[in-house]
Amino acid sequence: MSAPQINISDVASLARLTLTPDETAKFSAQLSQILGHMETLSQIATGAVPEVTPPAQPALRQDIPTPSLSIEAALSNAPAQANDLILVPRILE
Amino acid sequence: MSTPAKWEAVIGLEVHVQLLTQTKMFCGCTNHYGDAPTSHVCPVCLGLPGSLPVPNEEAIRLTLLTGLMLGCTLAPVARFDRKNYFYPDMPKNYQISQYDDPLCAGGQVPLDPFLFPKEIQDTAEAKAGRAIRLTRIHLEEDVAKSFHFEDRSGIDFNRAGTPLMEIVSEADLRTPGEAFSFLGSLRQVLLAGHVSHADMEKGQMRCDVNVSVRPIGQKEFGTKVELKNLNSTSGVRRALTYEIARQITACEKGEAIAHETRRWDDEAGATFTMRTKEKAHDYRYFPDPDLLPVRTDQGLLEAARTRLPELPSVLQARLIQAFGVTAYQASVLGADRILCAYFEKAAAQAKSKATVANWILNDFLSTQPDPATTPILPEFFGELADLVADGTINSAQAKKVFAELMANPASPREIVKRLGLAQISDVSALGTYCDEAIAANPRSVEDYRAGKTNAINALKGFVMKKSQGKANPLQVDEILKAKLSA
Ligand SMILES: [Zn+2]
Repeated sequence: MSAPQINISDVASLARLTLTPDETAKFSAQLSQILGHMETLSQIATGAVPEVTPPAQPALRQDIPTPSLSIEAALSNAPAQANDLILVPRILE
Repeated sequence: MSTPAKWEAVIGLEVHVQLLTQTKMFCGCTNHYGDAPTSHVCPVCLGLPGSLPVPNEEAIRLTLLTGLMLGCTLAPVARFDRKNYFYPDMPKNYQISQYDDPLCAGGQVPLDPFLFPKEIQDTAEAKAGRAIRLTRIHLEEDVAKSFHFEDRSGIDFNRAGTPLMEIVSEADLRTPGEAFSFLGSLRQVLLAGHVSHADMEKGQMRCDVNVSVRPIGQKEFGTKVELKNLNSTSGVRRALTYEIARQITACEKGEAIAHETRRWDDEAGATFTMRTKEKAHDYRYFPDPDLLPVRTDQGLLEAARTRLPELPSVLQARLIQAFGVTAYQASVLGADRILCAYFEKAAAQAKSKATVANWILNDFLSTQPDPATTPILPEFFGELADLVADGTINSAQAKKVFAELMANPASPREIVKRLGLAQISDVSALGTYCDEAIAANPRSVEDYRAGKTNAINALKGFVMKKSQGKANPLQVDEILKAKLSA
């Protein structure tokens, strides 16, 4: 079975990664292999198997406020801050 | 302004609505706007490693309630997905949203004719009574607010993670006026359910627009353009009016419409290219492994159902039927539930309920009252209307009573006494005034008898003056006519 091809440079650009040609070749092969496994899985006939719905409601939260971090604590790991805002490189629209 | 007859626009809206919850979507931080920056944040809404989201049940109930109010199909099981993208206002690098299994699907927004722009409410477009189909309603988390400085941007994460409901319409809208009414009509429903304040100018309701044009009769859609930066319903209307005209002009010149996002500049009154959509965004949605599917059929849906309010269209129909108000008055009353409750109380016992509506919607409303706190009891308007209906005072006197009511609130009956305003309806007293009027105005009498029926007005004026405005004008008219034709 031939492994599906994946456009690794496309995926890298979506993930904001810069890859060397060597890395590109290596990851292409690895990710194709992973996709190959998925193809194997999708060959299993599941049409007649009913979808599993969760038996019970997962934990939900009541709409009651709980304490937040202090402003100092929240900003303590920010590389740059001003006026209690976290500063980032200028966002261009 | 109007679309040339050969072309039609195809418009779809994506409306984001901030929900009225106490806390954020997946953490217990306060959901409140306008506080000190970075004061409502925690590991969950800052996206710190190891934190886990827990859904806010109230946000789910409010979304289900919206679905119920808009006639959607509600999913028994709904799922949360991750929408992956990189942007500084999104700390986790993904937004928790819903993709394959949203809480609500289908449904519609009926367009209220009186929520079209004022100057086109009389047109066929407004009166058509269209309902705009919805594709879906889903629940997601809002992003942080950004401020742009000269060389850097600052982020306030207070808004990050607050519940945001997205309502997506089908491409059913055809005109800027319909889009305007859609937003207004949708807002009325959201207000009725206490789901959101839904004020676009405060960012509580935000709207992206997709618009294309095509020759009338063509089935295929033209290339669609997305419009952003729309901060008011009238802004949406202006932006669409501009953009539709721009696209038609381009099409008539044979130019292709670029598939792009354009920014509306309200000051310039024009749209400008923001980015082209050569490559469709690939958000790589996948089910959020931190969140189990939500079962709406285990109490959530029932809880939402118990909160179903009287919908705007139902309320308006009832007001017209039970109180005899006009369709326009019903729309005005329906848009302000507190004023509406005030009116219903005022009209409950009144003989002429439509007159009560006139007093409240014309005279009272022009004083810009707060019906929730006004010292003027609603029953006073019922009484005022009754005093006119039973002939105790005439309409000119009623205006005086109203002025006094505003200045020194008291029962209109008392005010009538206090001001000595009661109308004279006593036939013999009125007869005396009429005799005096006839004796003092021989010329008018002669004119009247010669066929100039308007001449009777001079006699009526005489009687009103003599009686200091207290004569019952209808009776005076009758008595004078009887005496003159004798
Ligand atoms: Zn939080």
